[in-house]
Amino acid sequence: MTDSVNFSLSTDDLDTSSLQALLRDPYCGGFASFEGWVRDHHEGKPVLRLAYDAYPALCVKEGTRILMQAVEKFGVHKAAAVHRVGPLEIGGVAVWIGVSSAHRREALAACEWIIDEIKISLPVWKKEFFADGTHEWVRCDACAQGHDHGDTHAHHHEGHSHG
Amino acid sequence: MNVTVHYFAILRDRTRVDSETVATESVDPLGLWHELERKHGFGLDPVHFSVAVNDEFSEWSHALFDGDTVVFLPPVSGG
Repeated sequence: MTDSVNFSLSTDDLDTSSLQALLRDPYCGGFASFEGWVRDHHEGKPVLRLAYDAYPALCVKEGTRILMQAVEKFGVHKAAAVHRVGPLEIGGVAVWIGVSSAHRREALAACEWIIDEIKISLPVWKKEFFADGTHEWVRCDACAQGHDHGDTHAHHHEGHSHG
Repeated sequence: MNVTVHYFAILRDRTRVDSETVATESVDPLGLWHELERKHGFGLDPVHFSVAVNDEFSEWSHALFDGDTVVFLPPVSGG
């Protein structure tokens, strides 16, 4: 099963056509991919650039687990994902996910499931640099001591949609 | 015992180090957090964090042993 999945972190820009080529297979009639792009705004504030930090050893373990679970759950042939670390400019590809399978439906479903899982559990952190000169670790605005904890979970998925 | 702590994201910003080896009497990651809070003044509430021991997701009450590696994980924001 491990030959069918490939998760990695990259400090370099992603070459998405090369990544796609790795999933090509005569068995497969469908390929689905998702790219997360760096956008120029967050909750109404202009964003100039961002940087990702990651916990490499646990990222590879958790990313591989997610991909293996997707192959098992959806019956797809191959699944791969790469997450960028380090600084990124607006428009840069932050994350790439690709899935190939005999038929399209399971490839599309697996691709969506993988990005959802990555957002929930992959130990990666995004720091946004705003046009007003400030910066912040996304989703850690409530981390400071004494902050009201009440709305932490309500913000879980806000502000991270792409496309 | 000695444990190694790696810092990421906001914790690296607060401590200004990537990692450190700590001689500690703390028996679990929660005790270690409070010990390091006194040292570095994180100013952060551990309720928002999770923890990994030896590169596996773990629990705040997980028993620590000499040579363990501990990471406190801020809320993730990948994708």
